[in-house]
Amino acid sequence: MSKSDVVVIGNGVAGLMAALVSADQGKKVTLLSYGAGTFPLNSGVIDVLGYDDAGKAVANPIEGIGRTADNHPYKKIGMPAVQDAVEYFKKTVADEGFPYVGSLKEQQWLITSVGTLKPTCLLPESLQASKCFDANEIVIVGVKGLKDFYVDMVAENLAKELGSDKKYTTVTVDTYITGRDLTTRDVARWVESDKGYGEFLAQIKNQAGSGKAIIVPQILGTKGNYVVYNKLVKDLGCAVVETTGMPPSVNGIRLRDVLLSALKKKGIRVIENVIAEKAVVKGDTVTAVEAGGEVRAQTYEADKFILATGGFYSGGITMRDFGEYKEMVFGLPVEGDCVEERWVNKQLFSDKKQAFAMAGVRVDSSLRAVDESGNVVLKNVYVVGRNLSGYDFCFEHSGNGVALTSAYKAAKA
Amino acid sequence: MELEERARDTADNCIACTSCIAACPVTKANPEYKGPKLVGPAHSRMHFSDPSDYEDTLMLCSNCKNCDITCPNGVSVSTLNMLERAKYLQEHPEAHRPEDEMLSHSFKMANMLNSIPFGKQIANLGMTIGEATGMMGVMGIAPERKTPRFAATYFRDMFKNIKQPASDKKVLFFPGCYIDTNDPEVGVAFVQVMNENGYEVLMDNRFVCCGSPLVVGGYIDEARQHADTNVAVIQEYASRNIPVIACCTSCSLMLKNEYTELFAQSEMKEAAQNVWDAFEFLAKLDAEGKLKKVAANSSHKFIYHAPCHLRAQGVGLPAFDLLKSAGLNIVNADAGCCGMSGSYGFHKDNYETSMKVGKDLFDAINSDNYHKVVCDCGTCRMQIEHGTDTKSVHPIQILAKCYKKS
Amino acid sequence: MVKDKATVVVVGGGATGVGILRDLSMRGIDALLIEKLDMVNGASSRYHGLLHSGARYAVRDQEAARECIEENTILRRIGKSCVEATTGMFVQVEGDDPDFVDPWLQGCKDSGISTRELSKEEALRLEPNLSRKLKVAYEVPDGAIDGFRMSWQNLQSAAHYGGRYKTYTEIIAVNVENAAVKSIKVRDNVTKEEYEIECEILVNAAGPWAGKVAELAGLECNVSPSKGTLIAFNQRISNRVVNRLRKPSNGDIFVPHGSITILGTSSITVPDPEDTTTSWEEVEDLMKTGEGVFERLRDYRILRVFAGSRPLYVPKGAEGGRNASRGFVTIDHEKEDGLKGMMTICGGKFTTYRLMAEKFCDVLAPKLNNTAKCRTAEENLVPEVPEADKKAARQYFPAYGVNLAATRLGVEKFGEVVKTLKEEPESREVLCECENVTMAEIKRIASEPTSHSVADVRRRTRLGMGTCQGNYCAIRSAAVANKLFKDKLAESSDSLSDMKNFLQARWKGITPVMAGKTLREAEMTRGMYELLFNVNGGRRG
Repeated sequence: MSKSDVVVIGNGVAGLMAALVSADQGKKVTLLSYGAGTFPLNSGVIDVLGYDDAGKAVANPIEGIGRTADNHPYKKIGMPAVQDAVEYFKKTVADEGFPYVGSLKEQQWLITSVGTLKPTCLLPESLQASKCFDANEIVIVGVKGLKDFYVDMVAENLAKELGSDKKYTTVTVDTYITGRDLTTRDVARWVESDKGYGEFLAQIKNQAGSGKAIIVPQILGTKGNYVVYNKLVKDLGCAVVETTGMPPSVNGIRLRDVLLSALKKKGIRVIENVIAEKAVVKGDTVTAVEAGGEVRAQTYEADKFILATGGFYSGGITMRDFGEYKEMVFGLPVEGDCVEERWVNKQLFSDKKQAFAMAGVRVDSSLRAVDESGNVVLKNVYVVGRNLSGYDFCFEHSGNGVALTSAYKAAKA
Repeated sequence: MELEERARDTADNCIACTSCIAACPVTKANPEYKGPKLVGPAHSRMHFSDPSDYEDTLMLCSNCKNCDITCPNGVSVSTLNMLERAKYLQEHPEAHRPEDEMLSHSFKMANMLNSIPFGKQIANLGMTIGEATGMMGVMGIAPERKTPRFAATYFRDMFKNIKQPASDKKVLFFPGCYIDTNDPEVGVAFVQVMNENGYEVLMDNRFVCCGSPLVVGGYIDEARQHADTNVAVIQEYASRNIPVIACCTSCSLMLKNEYTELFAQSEMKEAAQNVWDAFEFLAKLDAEGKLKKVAANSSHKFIYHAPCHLRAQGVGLPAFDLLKSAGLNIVNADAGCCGMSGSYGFHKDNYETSMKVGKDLFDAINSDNYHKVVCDCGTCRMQIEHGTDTKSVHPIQILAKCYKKS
Repeated sequence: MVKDKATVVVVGGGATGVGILRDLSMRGIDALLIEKLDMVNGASSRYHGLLHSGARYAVRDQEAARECIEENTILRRIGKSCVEATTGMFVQVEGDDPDFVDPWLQGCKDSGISTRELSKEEALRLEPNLSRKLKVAYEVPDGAIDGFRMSWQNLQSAAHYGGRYKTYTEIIAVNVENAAVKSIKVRDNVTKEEYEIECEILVNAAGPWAGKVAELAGLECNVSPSKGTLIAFNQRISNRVVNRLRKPSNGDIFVPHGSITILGTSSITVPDPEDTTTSWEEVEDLMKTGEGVFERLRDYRILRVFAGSRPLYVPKGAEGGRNASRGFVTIDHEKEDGLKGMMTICGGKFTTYRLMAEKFCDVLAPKLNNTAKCRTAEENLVPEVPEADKKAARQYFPAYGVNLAATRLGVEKFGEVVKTLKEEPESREVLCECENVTMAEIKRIASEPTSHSVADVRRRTRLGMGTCQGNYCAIRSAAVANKLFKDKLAESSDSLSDMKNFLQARWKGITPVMAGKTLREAEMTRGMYELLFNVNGGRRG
């Protein structure tokens, strides 16, 4: 295998972005991928910072970032890189025909599939909730046989968010598909077919009208291209908003496909289904990683390595027993507050961050891992995304934001 | 000896994240199929104690392995499906489809025909008549398909007449049924390429079918016998430092990964260390600077289809990379599963699903005026030629041609 | 206000109470059982679910061992759909005391428990996950028993003979007149209504709470609640019960149940039977012992940890904890304390619940001039669902799981569920994909008078108890199942709280084991509910 300039390990949002930005620096990039990242669980929007440390909604992400703690990844990434990364992302998806709306200056909102509002920074236009804020009537469209999108529950919770002075109507459409319980992806495929679109439109057309907003599950096509969305808005003549969805998340997969398409255009080599097992280290420099399936590992040489293997969920960091952290590729130092009284909050949905969610690799402002005295451990290994310590992506709603901006910074370094 | 780490235990890793359902081409095409996580992994958990109660759609899995590729938690989803299917069919022999026996045991027929004068020709004629008269459908074979014809001379017989320069560097070829009995030219090309690189190719007639068609048909005990036979041969050559190489990606996946996953025997895991996919081996030579330089001077434009069973091996796309760096004008179709999945698409009941799955790939191939489709898998190529008007070729044949020209 | 009346009122809906209700009812005695919460919420479900062969007691307590093997045989016969006849193994690994084997074998022989020696090879073939450090292994007739199901089927059988039961009905006072129990005062924990129930005999079968019930009558009953902590693993680590062949200690029993394995148990004396908290230390203690038997134990995914209180009866001056007797006592308060019409039953173990009820009722019945003989060992708890019915039902089930549903539901309810599935295709929605529970089954169980919340239904259907730990069904139960309980037990007011409560109930058991693969699941739960659904609401603060 010929040597690369950069090897990126991991194919979530952080890994794919790191590969793209690296390739744009003129680097020869190899991406080692294992599994589907978190895309099938991911709403495919870029949350930068939704809530502050007190759990209060952040109106302006830039200001929110300024107020984060010193050990927060954003403080290490720095504001210029955060801003550039956001612009880079917007350009990348726009070039692929799937432009996102939003900016760091003003928080956007989307509607979840249970009817709550969720703050986010960048999102596809089809998910933008603000379009329905001024509507007089909200029409919630369910699908027969589609589990996990319950129109009554959406109406109940949305009324709490948007006010009960609006009218909330529900309607359920039939896909005429028989067989198993449907997923949003099944329905999205139906809606993007000519026949399905016709059937769908016929069943909701009489609900549309001025002053109305139509809320649908994430079913407006499987592809990130707005084809179905644009057609529907035109045909209905009113606002249409997609919600988030239960896994498999249609929009998460849309975003993945769009990013993979960009990767392919840039000639980035993707090696699928390989686990990076260990590093070849000379002094404080990594010369290669060995990665493979069960049979044999191949050696992937490079000048620079970007670690984007994720945290506990993705297995990039493990803790077989309390306190026994392990970063699985380079054995980088992991920090966390693994003390019985503090490791897990008694309440699952707590008013404070969960310590276990904050555990990760300790890095300096160059995003390279440092030991307890602050010395860089491996000088050509950069750590991004959920591998990093110091933030609770669920509590803050900051997962893809940290992933994107840390990847950008690491790739530029 | 039984390994302590077994694929069936990987069901424990499944947290129902649903990634496999999103990636499964059969789930996409067939609204009856519940999806991977709800079949093998679920059964492995639920039915340890109760083998009588089964999810019927277990039979719809094509064993294409996209679930394994997409799983973030290392669950051997498709292998769990196959193990559970075998258990199900042992419990319910009546659930076997009439064509299972034949599609899983085509090696028997092929061997038998080779022992009869004009046997293959007669069989091929029979197939032509069968297709014309609709007999294939009656037998449970998709009547739309052209059944692969037997080669007039099998590779095993052709091989005897190939003159190779003797060499200290030797490899043992595992031809697999399709190359051996239907598409021997691929084997010939392989021998040429290895000879060009200073290797002498050996054959060993103790090799039997890798067992992949047996596994999907639920004949797990027979597959185990095949595994034991092949593993013993591989081990013997391993002790002489002679690697075993397959040109069929389903065969190489079986020998390298699936034996160990299915049967959890330590000798299978050891033997796997000595097995290579052809282009995986050539890429290794290339990385070591030992591959004979090659330049592709074709003016044609090619499209590459990566077989799922190659993608599952975790070795990248070595054929694509090698041909591209040799200067061939080739693009990666990157359009998912072809839908054939070995014998899957031959079943009459699976035909519609199979063609629906392949649609993205057909569209990609039809989107431009490609000279040929390059693909390492014989049954993928059959599907491609069935679903498009474009001819296909194994990458080793292109490489052999390039060497010949230079 | 007197609102109800029964000859005998049994307090406590655990195995002991339901066993007594069935026994009394079969003798023709009018009896009513009351339980302060849902049935079987205490020690009868919060234990490892081992159907003892008695081998565990063979050295120390041969009487208990003999009772166990006799009852084991009876329960396998009368409770087929609650018992998994797995058999069990007693194993020693390197370092275990070889001198314990002979006395144990002798004890088993003397108690009538059959043992079969297994070679190391055979033991490893049968149970491939066992430690390679295995030294000796014996097979015994242990089994697994489902505490919930066994108890509910006892109730069903009792009801067949006229027995009655009320859940969420808590005893709050005992009215005594002329040194005799006249009635009890209860509170309906759903409606908060308080009323009286007249009775001739009050049976205190409240398990670890027996001391508290006795107090209501001004009596003393020295029950020492002993907390046992257990770990539930996500898969069947073994297909048989596996015991450590040594002096009984913490963490040396593994019991497979359906798709999971339970490892237990610790034994810690606690002042309050409600204390079911678990510490890292307790978990570590169990794991450390457990990995002696299954070396790779720490690599298996833990679903949750739970704890229950054993009702150990401690006569004055005796020792509590692990060394307290596992036997049971019958206290006739007329004899002991001069209070007529009150009896207490305390101690014992699940495997012998039927025998305990028999012996207890043999004392109670004559007080009512009833001379009927105990018949509880003669008749099956419930009729079995015929194979033909199951086969016919298969075409309406949206997934496999017919057998599981049949054993959970029993003939009558199974038939109704199948009918619903047939007639209302939308009821085929699988709400819980891990355990394959359909909407039809949820609706059927929700319609029972004892069902007041999703939690009640969960315990009877296994909704949300499987491998995803509620990630997929919390939303479904909040949206669909919870609507079935309007104006009943008020757990919460809106769908978001319902969802959160559902998951919080699982969370309690997850927090003490937030390490290893369990972390993965926890991150997914939060990712779904905090990010995808933002259940804490949008424009907070």
